[in-house]
Amino acid sequence: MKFGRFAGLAGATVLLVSLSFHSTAGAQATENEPETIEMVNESGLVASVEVDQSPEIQKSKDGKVKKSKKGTYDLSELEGELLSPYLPPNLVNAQMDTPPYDPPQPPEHLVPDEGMGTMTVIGQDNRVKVQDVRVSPYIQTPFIGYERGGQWFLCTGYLIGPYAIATAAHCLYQNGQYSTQMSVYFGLEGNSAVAGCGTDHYSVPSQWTSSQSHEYDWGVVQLNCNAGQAFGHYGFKNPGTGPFGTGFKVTGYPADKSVNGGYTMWQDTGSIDIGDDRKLWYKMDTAGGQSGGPIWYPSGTACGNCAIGVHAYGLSPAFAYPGYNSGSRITNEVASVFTTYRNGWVTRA
Amino acid sequence: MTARVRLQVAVSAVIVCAALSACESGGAQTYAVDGFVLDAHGEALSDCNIGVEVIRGGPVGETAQRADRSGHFSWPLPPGEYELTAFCSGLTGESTVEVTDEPVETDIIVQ
Repeated sequence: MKFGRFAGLAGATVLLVSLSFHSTAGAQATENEPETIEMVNESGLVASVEVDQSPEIQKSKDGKVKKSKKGTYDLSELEGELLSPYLPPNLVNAQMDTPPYDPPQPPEHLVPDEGMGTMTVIGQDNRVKVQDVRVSPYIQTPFIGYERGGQWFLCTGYLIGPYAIATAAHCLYQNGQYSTQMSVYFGLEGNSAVAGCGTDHYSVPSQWTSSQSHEYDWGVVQLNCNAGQAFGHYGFKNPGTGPFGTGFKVTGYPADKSVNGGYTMWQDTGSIDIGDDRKLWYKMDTAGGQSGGPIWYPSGTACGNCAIGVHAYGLSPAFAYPGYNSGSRITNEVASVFTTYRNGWVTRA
Repeated sequence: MTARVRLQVAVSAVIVCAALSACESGGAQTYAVDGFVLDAHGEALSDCNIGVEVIRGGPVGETAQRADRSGHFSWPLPPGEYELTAFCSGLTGESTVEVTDEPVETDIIVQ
């Protein structure tokens, strides 16, 4: 696939989804968290949701990609083909060949050089390139491209269930606008991806739309494909507020590593230095484009490759801890929302 | 963990900014930082990504923006001081801007 732009399945029927999640057990008494996280999505319409644990999936005409009546594409038959970058034809946006502008070509005099400077690297750049994005959990860590306000942006996400990825809320909603034309690419390396999906809907905490507080900068995208069934997904848990050890990772697609119009995956490994009510703070290196990527560690337990947060910010003097990069911690309330999406297809009434 | 999930109907009013020259909805008011990515000869560069580093103000989420084929970019930012960096297949250029209470125009020269 040529990846000249963020073409994708324009997703998403515009609907508002509102979920209220009340955690009744497992809450930590020391945490100062709201009783209710209300997830909202898009404007003006009214919807409720239900969880369908087995959405009906049908085969497509070519027998390779299936599509459910609910618009879900089945990627499971791609498993044997992961070593060969492949974009299911039915998952290619019909607009792929008619982008809003010609796919940009790099000027001839520009020579790729991965030794460039970065933005929120603290001290030495310790990020390491992920060599094979087609293996777990990296295949579960997609590149996200989207349009907002007439401009194209990029983020990262991670699979948390069969149809859902977590990402940062500011990748989904900002300045009064929801993102549009979102494309989610799995196994993206340079200009090729293993698979690409569009979205069914996405939702963010109402606290984000009302205040855009960095403490609520997380959200969920329900895809129009079952990438989580095909590729597996991260586990997740509330890590508490620490103290934390080392061996944590922040993974994503930083824009400063873009070469010839394509994107590559990088990650840093290190410690979580601070955990507070809703955030994790660390000096692991990141850069623009990594928002929404997982803060995770290989747990060796049932949690598997275990996400404990959603990366969202580089350094900012406005923060209480200005010398640290940061992301949203998976609190009990966040985990409740993630669990709902992990349990199946969230439909709109 | 057990959780009681209550599904409810709700309506959310969303303020949509018709233009991003100035916009406020739930967070700090933002103003567009608008410009082009150019090479040393003043020619537009299209294959560039833009990142924002916060010097003063913010915070700004760690997304990135891809300039269009004319090299144009536009990023709504709250009042503060920022360094915008263009990454163009190995070459970079920076521009430092101060956002106060109106849109800002700045070009980024990539060397």
